[in-house]
Amino acid sequence: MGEGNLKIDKKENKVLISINPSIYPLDVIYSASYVFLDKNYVFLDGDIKKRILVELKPKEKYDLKKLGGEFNNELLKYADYKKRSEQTKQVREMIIQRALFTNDPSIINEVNQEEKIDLDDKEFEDPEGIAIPWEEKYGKKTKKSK
Amino acid sequence: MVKKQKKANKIILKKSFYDLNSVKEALKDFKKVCESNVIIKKNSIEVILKPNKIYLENNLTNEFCNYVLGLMKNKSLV
Repeated sequence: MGEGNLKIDKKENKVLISINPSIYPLDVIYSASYVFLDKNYVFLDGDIKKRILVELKPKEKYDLKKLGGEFNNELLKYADYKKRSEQTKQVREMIIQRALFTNDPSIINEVNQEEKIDLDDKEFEDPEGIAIPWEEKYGKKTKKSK
Repeated sequence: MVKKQKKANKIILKKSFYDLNSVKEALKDFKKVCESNVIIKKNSIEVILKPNKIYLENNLTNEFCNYVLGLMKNKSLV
C-alpha cells in the first residue's frame, strides 16, 4: 500500500519512507530517526544521492500510516530547525563570545584602565565660556530666603 | 534489507549511512548475546549475527541496527 512517500507493509508490520535527499539532507534524516529509536526499529537504506529509504518497524502495535506521517513531521521539524540554526549562527556565536569576553579578568582590567584614563581630571579648553559645571546646574539648591 | 539465514541473521549496512567504528563498537557490546562475523566491503558492511539463545533470534538484527544508530547519535552529541 502506497501513500505519498510511504509504503506500508502490513504483513511485515513496517512502513518504508522514501526521502529525497535534496529536500531533506542526511543529518536531518538522522535527527528524525533518532527520535523513533526507543519505540521502533529503524533501518536506513537506499542511495544517498538519489533516494534514502527509512524503514520503521514499531516494537509494539501501532498505526503504520500514523507512524509514517509522524516521521514526515519530524523531518520537517528538523529541516526547519537546521535552517533557523544556520540563520542565527552568527548571533549565537556573538552571544557566546560576549559571555566569555565579559568573564575574562585580563580584559576587565584593561577596560577599567581605559576608563580610568578617561576619568582623569584634566582641564579642557572652553574659549566661548559656555561650559557650566555639573554642580552649578544640577547640584543642591540653596534655600531661598522668604 | 535484513536477510535471515537458517540460524544466523545477516544484515547489510551501507557505509554511507552507518559508521564503521560504531558497528565495531556495537559488535563488541553484543559479544555476550551472539557470535558475530563481519565482512567489510567497498560500500557496505555485512554483519552476521548468531544468537546464543533461540529466543534472541527474532529481534537481534533489529536491535543491533538500533544500537548502532544509538551509538552514532551519542557520537554526534560529543
